[in-house]
Amino acid sequence: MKTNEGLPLVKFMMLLSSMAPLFLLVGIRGMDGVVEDNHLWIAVLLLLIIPFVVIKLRIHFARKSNDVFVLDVSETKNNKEYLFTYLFTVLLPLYSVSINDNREFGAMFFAICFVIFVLWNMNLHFVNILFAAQGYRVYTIESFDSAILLTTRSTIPKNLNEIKVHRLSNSVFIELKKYNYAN
Amino acid sequence: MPIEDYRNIEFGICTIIEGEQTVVRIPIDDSVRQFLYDMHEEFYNTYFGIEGEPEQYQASEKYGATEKLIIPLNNEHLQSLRDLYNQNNIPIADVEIGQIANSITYYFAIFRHNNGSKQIAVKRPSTFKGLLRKKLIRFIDDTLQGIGDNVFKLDNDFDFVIHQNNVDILHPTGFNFIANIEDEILRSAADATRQLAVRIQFVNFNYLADFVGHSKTAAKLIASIKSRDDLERTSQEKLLLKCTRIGVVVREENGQLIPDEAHIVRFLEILDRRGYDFDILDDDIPEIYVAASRKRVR
Repeated sequence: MKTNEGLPLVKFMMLLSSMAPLFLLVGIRGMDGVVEDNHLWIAVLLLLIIPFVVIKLRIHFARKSNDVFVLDVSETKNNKEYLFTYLFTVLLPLYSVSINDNREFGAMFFAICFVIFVLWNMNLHFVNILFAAQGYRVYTIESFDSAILLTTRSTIPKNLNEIKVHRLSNSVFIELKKYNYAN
Repeated sequence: MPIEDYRNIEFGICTIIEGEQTVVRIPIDDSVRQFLYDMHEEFYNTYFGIEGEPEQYQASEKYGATEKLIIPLNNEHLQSLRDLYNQNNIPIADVEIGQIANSITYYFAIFRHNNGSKQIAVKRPSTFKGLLRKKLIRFIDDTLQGIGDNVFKLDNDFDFVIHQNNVDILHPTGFNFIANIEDEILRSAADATRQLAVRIQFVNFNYLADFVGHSKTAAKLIASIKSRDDLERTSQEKLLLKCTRIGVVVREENGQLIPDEAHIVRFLEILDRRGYDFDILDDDIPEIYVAASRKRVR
């Protein structure tokens, strides 16, 4: 049966949102001789705000539609290493690039597109500074095709087999803070 | 049971496309959840509305459209239903239901009770018009949205409901189709027949096994006979007498009964309490019948 990941716009916006620190760094460093600071900051702010709004809307609609599932979380793993992977493979290499002419701008643009392509295909759109800032931790549900669970729980108790969560995408689920799931 | 008693209600489908069976859960909103809850309520209103205790399902029995039946989930022929029930993390997917409607074998709803128990209600679809995607907001929220008019509806009830230990069956036709019970029984029929040799030692079941392995009717009779708990008390003398009365040719070899090949099904019908005769006319010619459906009078 032909199925798809679903919610491609949300997934793309989550990916863009995961690049937010990079966009911010690019804005701070500037692109002298390529883009004026005013225009650059407008672009950076749009790249920060639009994904944020779309993700907030997705959460809003998930709550409104009661788009919830009960997942078997008997086999989960806390994934702190994703943050390091993200920092060392995406942020730091791209940050070190200086953009002083159109060719470097093109190279940077291509690199970002390529990183987004890779992250998209590896379903790594959950690495997100917004969630991290709110205290969400990342767990991999190994018994569920390595789907991702975002929750503020410091650990998943061994005796907790099932957990009710909202769906952000078909591979990323979130246990919203201060939401009464009656789990 | 009010809907609030359920921790969650989820929806899913099973499709068979090019021989590959796929089971997925599909996101729904609360309106579809309410529809599924109503179907579940209707199922049990009808089920418990039928008088008497639920009867044990028997594959050889011819049932009406609506019955009050039960079968243990650990029945050897219900592996596919056990797999469905025990699959904890059924994948979640977006599917174009409109495009694959003809490939949908069944749809189901998982009812998770607040007390931790789980039921899976299953239905062979007659129509999928009850579901519609709101395309205007699809990119933000692609849950299936129910609509409120009376044109598009899911079915009124489910065919059967799977519990942890048993299956409640309301519509046997849908149950037979979804559980693929006939093929499952046929697959194990020859072995099941040989196993009966231990329980009725004066019948040569090894001789019958090859025939039963190729006949759905005989296989269903064997499955039904096997489920009886009184086989060991079968009287050879009374069985022979019954065969004679209703014209089933049986020979005896090495102390074991062997029915004529043309009479194997009729012989099994006797063991399954389906072959019987009536003799209430003035003449001495008995009328011989086969009961497609029968109920024991207590």
